[in-house]
This record gives sequence, C-alpha cells and structure tokens, in this order.
Amino acid sequence: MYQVYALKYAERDLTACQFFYREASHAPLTLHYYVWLILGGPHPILVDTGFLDDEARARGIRNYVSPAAMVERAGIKPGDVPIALITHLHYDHWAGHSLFPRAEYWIQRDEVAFWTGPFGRYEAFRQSANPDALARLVTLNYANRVRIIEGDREVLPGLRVHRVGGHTASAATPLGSRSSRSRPAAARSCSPPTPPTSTATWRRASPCRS
Amino acid sequence: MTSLPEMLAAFETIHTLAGAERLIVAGHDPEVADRFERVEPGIIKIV
Repeated sequence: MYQVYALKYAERDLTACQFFYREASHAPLTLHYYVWLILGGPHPILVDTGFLDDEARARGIRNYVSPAAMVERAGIKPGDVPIALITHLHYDHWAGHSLFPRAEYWIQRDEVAFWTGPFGRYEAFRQSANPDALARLVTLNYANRVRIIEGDREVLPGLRVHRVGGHTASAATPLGSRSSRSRPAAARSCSPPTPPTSTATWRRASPCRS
Repeated sequence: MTSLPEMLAAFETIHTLAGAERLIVAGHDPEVADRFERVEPGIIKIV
C-alpha cells in the first residue's frame, strides 16, 4: 500500500562516545542524515526536513545534498509535499522546513513547548537547536502551516504517528510492514541515544506488496 | 536527551508497535543502505 524511502542528504564523522549515551569508546562512527518519503497514498508524506547548507558548513557535515533535491530525485517536487511529519525539533530534522514551502508540519505539542520554552538557554539543548528555525514555529503557526498534535494520530488510512518521549520532549515515528526481502533493522545499531519525540508508524491492513 | 526513563519506555513502545514484523528502522544508521534496497545513490527503499 505505501512505499517508504530513506533519502540520505549528509554524513558526519564522529566518535561513539559523542553519539551513544554513556558510551566510553572513542571508536570512529559515521552518521547518515535522512529524510523519509512515504508514497502510495493520495499524496506524498515527508518525514522530517533535514537542514540547509549553512548548517552543514557550520557543523562540519560532509556530502551534503539539499533534502529538497533528494525528494525531487525520488520523483516528488518539494512544493508538492502537503504534509511533513516532524519527528522532533533538533536542527537536523527541522531546520530544512523552508525547503518544503507548501507543507503543513505536524509536530507533537510537548515538542513545540519544549523548544520554545525555558530550557533553550542551556548548552545541552542549544547545541541541537537551530534557533532561527525554531523561531519560525510561531510565524508558521500563525500562517496555519503547523498542526500541533498530541499523542497518537492517524495521518492516512493505515499510517499513524505515535508519540515516544525521551530523546526530546515528545516525538513521533513511522513504522511499516516489511517486504519479505528485508531483514529487520536492529534498533540498537547506531540508533540515536534516545528515540525522537515522535514516531510515525504505518500499519497495513493488507500484506505488503510494496 | 531530555529523559532516560521516557526514552527507555519509548523503546518498549516502538518494539510493541513493531509487533511480530519486528521492523524498526533506526535513524542515522548507515546500515540502512545495506539492509534495504538501494534504488540509486542516497535513495533506499525500506518497503
């Protein structure tokens, strides 16, 4: 019913202890940065928005390709994306929102509250933030471009978003049926130290034929 | 991270939602490109 694509737009080299919680190892680690595209419904659904090239330069992130260019390469015009599910508001998920000028951004209420609230002044959180992009939450909301959701929600038939907290104040994650070819991806291997605040899950009523 | 207990609960939630299919795709994981179908450079089909 739905096809789900991971679109890689950047890479970054760091060490295990910079990424995994309470990890002592300095072993090298490469992160890949993705946005995700869900096709097969009445319209495309984007999951997360990546960031802009200024952020790539400032943070020493390599092999940056605009997430909009990746979406276009996957056959979808960035201006034709009507809904972007924002798993959480870290810079690498939210700072690229302007690349998708007609999208309505779905974000958990707790997540918006957290990043516009009292803790932004602390370096522990500031380092994951793009303050200019976060400031736009207010103007975008007044422009009717933000849908603030609370908890679990159906996005399209068989596609749901679930709140999962901890990584940030509240996240959503997509989940899908897998094709018989794919092996399950281990949640452990290189998953962020905390899940995002929002998880989209997609469930299928019928067996996956992708 | 904002809360370790919430994060651990979230992992449980994710595993419960994945159910018998056990498909959980990790963000930021380079192995995504190896475990799933590479359609073209940078584009990976999950399902």
